[in-house]
Amino acid sequence: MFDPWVHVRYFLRCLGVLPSIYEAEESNKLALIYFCVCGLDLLNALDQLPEKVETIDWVYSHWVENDDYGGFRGSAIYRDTGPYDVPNLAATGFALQILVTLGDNLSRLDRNKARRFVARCQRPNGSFSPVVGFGEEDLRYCMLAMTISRLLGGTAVDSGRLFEYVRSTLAFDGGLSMSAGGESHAGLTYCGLAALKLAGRLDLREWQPTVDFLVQRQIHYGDFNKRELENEYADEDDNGAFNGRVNKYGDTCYAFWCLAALELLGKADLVDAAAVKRFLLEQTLSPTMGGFCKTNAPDELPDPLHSFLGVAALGIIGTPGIAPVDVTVVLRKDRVV
Amino acid sequence: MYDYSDIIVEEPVEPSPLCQILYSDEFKHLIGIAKALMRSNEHSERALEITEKVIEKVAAHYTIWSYRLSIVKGLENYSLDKELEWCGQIALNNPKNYQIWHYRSLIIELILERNGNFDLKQEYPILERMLDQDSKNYHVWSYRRWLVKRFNLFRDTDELKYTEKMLEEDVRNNSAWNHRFFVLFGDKKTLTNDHVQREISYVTSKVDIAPTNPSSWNYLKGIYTQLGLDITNLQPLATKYSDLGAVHSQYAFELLAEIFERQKLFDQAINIYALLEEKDSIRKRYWRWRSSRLNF
Repeated sequence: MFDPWVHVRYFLRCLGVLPSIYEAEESNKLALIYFCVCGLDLLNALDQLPEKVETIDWVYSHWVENDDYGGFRGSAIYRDTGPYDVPNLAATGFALQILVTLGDNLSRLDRNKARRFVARCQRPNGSFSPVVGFGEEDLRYCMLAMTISRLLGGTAVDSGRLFEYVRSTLAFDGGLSMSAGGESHAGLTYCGLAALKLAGRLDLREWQPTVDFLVQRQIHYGDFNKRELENEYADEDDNGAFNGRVNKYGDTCYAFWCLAALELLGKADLVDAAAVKRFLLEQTLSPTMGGFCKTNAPDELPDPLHSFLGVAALGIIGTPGIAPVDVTVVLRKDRVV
Repeated sequence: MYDYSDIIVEEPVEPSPLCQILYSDEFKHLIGIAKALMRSNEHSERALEITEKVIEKVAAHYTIWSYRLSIVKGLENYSLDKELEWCGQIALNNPKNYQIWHYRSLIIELILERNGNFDLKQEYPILERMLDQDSKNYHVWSYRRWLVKRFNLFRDTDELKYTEKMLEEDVRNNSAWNHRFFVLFGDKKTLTNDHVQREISYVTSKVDIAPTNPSSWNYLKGIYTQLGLDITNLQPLATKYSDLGAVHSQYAFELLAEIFERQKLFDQAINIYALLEEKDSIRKRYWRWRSSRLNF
């Protein structure tokens, strides 16, 4: 049986006071808060969250703009750094997700400036940079750009070029990758499909090999492939789990990325929901601390990202005590209308 | 150590209602100095040192890299080779940091801009050390792919030999397989039939070593689909590994079903999907769906 309360307590603990070792996460703080707040929302426990009004004000304090565009900075460590105090796509996405989850109607935002920020991040090849004019190519930013557009209720991006770019990252085995020619990766596959879904450009008929790739990510060592257990990454206890790349070990977060990606294509029913549920509940859930670990390795501790995605994965396949998930913007289903 | 005593450090962080981190004085001091230097966009050796400390402390800092690049460009006598060396050290200490590899590519572009050429040899020791530590490091392989593209190393002998060495160590290293695919087929301009045939023999020999390894089957099928070759040519191999009384593989069965479908032998394809449904039971709904989708 799934006990929501042990996870509610876990998320509340992570939202509390953190020791100085978390300084390294300073730039990811909005992400941490999103995982925990949205996790509480999925567990129907948002009423347990203290200081909602203060949190909304605090999130808005991350807004940074120039004459042309605006968005959210990742942390106060960027404030007053002159040319280096700029908005970031990830921070903007997480900030909006937190605000929407807390019931804020985004009325304090200059939506046009935020839309222009997203548009300015788009490169000629259709991809997005994390900040305007600088940074690596990565399919994650396509997803973030489209999530932001959806939450703002309108977009200024070029969806034709976005589509071309996402297709260019398609690997020979059906998965999407970081950039053209890259290794197929389930998390990035989700990012590409979600971006296209939000852009209204996702058609199952164009993604058959991708369905195959995603379904094959569910790990199964049986009569057919016992020999594979000689692979150093192989572990019989991973049965039912999903891995993120071919020949890698099972990991909590890929249960979410694979199920959500298949759900975007309307094909989540092709995998074994009971087997993945068993893996999550018996192998990576932390019964004493609450939350989920990344893998079933004995020395692991739960972390907010895997805890949130573990809960969300269980939400996709239907688990009493967890609200359904909107797999396009990764929020509780009724949060965006 | 440089002197920072002239810098006025203001309160660099602020309390937050959620996830309140108990910052150490050392952290506040470091961030305070970094913010002051960034604000004035100071280009100096001491600023360079501060960027390194910030990168070590807050790996996800997203503008410290463009600040460092701006300093490196601004310091007249600073050697770009030294900067590459520094990148290597930071990468070894922070194997999960991905911004470092993008930054490294920008430094190489800068060297090319200044000198007109760049000696690629200096790239290999660091890449090998990184991949020795983690043979599937996604960001290191991405960077290696960038080098192939930037310096036109398609079908380069050394690059191919390297993937062969990696696959000899671990035939299931999917990252190495992917890189090999890119080196061979990422640019088809000078690709010959001879390359293709040799590669098909190479991957077939790897299937023989580990017939249940998905990486080599995916690679083999990838060659066929990407180059528009006829998969029915793979029937002997697929048949070889779809005998339940001998060494067999689900990937061989799947391929055989696809070949039968191509040959319009639908009953045989349906039988194989039924077997997969039974043996690869976790995907039984998937195999049933594949069977129902047969294009009669």
